[in-house]
Amino acid sequence: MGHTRLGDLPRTRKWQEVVSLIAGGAGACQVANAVIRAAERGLNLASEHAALVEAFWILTQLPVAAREPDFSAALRHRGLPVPDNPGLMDIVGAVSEAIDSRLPNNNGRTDLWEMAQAAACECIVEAVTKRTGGLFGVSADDVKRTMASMATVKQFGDFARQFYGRLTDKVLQYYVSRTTANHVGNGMRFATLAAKAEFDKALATHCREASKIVEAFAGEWFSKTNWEKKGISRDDAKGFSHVAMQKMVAELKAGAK
Amino acid sequence: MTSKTRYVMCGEAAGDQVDAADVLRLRNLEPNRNVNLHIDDISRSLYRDVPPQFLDLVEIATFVYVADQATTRGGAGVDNMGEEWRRQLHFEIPVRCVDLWQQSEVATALQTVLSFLSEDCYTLKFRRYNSPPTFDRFINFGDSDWGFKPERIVLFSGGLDSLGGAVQEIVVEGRATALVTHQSCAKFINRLRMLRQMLDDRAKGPKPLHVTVGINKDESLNHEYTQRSRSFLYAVLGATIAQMCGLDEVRFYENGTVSLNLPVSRQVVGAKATRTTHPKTLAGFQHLFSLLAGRPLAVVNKFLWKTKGEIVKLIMDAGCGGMIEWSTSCTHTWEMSNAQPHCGKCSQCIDRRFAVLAAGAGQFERADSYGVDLLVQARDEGESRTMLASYVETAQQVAAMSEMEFFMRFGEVGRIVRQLGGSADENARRIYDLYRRHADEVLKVVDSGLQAHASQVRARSLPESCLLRLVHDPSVPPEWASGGTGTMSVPTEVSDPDYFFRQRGEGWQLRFAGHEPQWLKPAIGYAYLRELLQFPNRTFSVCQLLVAVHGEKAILPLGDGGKDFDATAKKAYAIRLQELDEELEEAQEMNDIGRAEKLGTERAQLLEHIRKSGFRGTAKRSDSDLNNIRNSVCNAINRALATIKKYEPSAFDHLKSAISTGFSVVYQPTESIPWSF
Repeated sequence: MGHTRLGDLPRTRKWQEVVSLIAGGAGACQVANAVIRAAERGLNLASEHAALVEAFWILTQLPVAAREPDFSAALRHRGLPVPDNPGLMDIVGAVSEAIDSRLPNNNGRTDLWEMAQAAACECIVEAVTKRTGGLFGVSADDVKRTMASMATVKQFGDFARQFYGRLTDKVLQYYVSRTTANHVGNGMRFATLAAKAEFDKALATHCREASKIVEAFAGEWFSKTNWEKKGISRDDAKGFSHVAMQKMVAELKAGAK
Repeated sequence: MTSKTRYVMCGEAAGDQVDAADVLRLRNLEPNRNVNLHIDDISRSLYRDVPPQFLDLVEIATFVYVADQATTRGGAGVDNMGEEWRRQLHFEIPVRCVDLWQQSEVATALQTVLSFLSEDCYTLKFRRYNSPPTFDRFINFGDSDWGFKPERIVLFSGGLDSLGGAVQEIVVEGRATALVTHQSCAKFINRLRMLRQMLDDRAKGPKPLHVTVGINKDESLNHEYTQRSRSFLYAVLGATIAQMCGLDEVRFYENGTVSLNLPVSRQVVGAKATRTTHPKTLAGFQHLFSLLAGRPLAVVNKFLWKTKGEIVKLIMDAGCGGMIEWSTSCTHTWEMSNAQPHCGKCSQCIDRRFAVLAAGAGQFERADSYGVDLLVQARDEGESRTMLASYVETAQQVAAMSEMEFFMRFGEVGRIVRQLGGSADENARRIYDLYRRHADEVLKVVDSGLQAHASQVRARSLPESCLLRLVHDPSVPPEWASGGTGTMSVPTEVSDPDYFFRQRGEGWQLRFAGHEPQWLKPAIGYAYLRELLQFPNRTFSVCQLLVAVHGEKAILPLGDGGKDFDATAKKAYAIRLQELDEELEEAQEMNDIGRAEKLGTERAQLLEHIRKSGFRGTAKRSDSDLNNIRNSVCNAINRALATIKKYEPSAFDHLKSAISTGFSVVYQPTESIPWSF
């Protein structure tokens, strides 16, 4: 009883340039550049988008809460409905619910909201599993310890970078995936689906590389704001998000390197 | 553009004046009825038990469903991140139990489940009915009493998954079951009738009860085919009948991968993949119905942990394989015919055919019952090809993913793990396992297809856009097929120079300072640039450049493509001839024999070319012609530079500072650049 709806890129000049670049053989970096230019309006909206702010604000709260004696209570205090001694997937689920509850009844929800929500969940999984080496069987104590370790300049910088890198990749693929399958086949841009998959990977790598621009800046901002203001507010997160997205967009528009 | 806002005035409220631009008026009673709900074959003996809040609920669900179809979701929503997809729907609905519906908990439960299900924004305003219709106005009572109360309420769409559920309940377990069907398309009727007959014949216990619900509406109310709210209507009907029968559970049967709704393509965000039986949706239904019933009324999906292929196996194992071909999964009902009930293009058709083949049930449905064969027929550009390519590619990726990689790819799992009860970690593990099994099924079908069609694949006799060619092309060496860095389908040479500017296919490729090569759309300005870069420090007149680039094909970029010389090209040749004469005279005066010889050769070649092209007569130089040529050449160069600026700013900086334009054009770099061409 269910189905999935797909769409195409519009036939406007800016989007057809993206299509022709993909068809012609442009690399991931150049395609990213063209998409960013074509999607500029949407991305400008993104820089202060409530979903982005909320998702990023929650990410700033996790390491701080993990340093408090009662981790579960600290998370609940911040609006994350977790059980006592939460495991990793409890936290991921709670983060998703908290972001959803920020915008009941979809009033103002956009696709960016969905992408920011998913990116936040994914980067939490990545941050914890990268440090613990596993997903299932990681104890609640290990999860807490790992999250607490992310409160340093270096570790939080890495955490924030993962988020912005993933979000940017999602945004680019949100557009690009509407056309890439049309360029698979003999004599076309991608000889097979495997070649298309490689292109997708290259695009993800490019986004991760571009997100380096956020890394150092994020770590220092996190540490400084926490120290000076004794905590990070949603307004602080909004200010940071605005600058971070501007930096990401500028980096992706900077062109070939 | 913002999201679509629509006021929906329903029932007795339909005649009210509303100060809004876009009002939808839905009338379920005469006069001017445009929505007609009818429920067939309900037992008269059960009817009296329907409480008024459930009568309200059925009407609300009907209005929501019709408004959903009557209100378009706009276009692809690319430029505004899907803002138009999400509509603002403001309902005003008369009800019998106005106090109940206005209770905060009930109103919130209704709004929450609807907004998650269809991803729209709902406001629902309730008013008291002046004269509520009795429910029997919507019911066509069956000829006979049911004779027993059912043990199970199963929502039966006539698709493959719900057929699996019906087989499980009726044929395998022999339960007294009521199958509730929403008949959304008249084309289904005969197929549905056949399925029902077969289920009746194979029932281990009592024959199932078939309850059919239909909604007739004006054609003018058909605008949006996604019908995201359809499962609400379904569940409401199931819950109402459960309430009539005193049962405490309504059962959906839907395979886990569709139910959990992880995106099959990266463009699929939110409810663009259906949330029909998403665990959060079912939890929302359950909460709302329990509030209305004043007792727990569960809504469950009994196939949540099964793949579609496993459901097909279940049907076959029960000896009901023959029912498969009478089930209908396609969502593109407008393409449906008796001979081809499945389009073969939509996600449902693709999912179904993979499942049937993976379960080894191919003999139970004709391959040509699909508009497009899954494996070997050409697929049009657009949704059909994108859907299939994304589906298979996602399966390939999932099959290769570790648990960690899976959850790092599908953050949408966050919405699910805590809706299922039990441990979130354990739920996550089961989700991963389900998707791996599904991926294995898909790849098994692809591999079997490649084996079965090996000779056609090798001979490349299958259409280029069919699935088997998309996953494997024997003309492509394996290292090409994998695409290397993802920058080209044809790999760039390992020893590519740091600076090159060359034509590739119809376009151009520029690499500067070892950066990633940039692909440039075909444009004549790049041809001029290449000519300049090939001869640093050489001054070209614009006419020289024009002739050098266009040569015999001068007509093509400038002219009409006809047999005769294009006027501009004629003038260019004439001007160049005159220049050559002047330069030759100057060289002879300077006694520069080498230069004179070179110019003489060029003049002879040019005259020969003009002769061959049928040029006659004397051309005279004209300043306005020269201006035109200068403008044409220099503008083309500047346009090319502007594009280069977007994608390779360092190359632009270099070229901008090194190239001077005018009647003469020259590339004079301050440092020598080792360009390759």
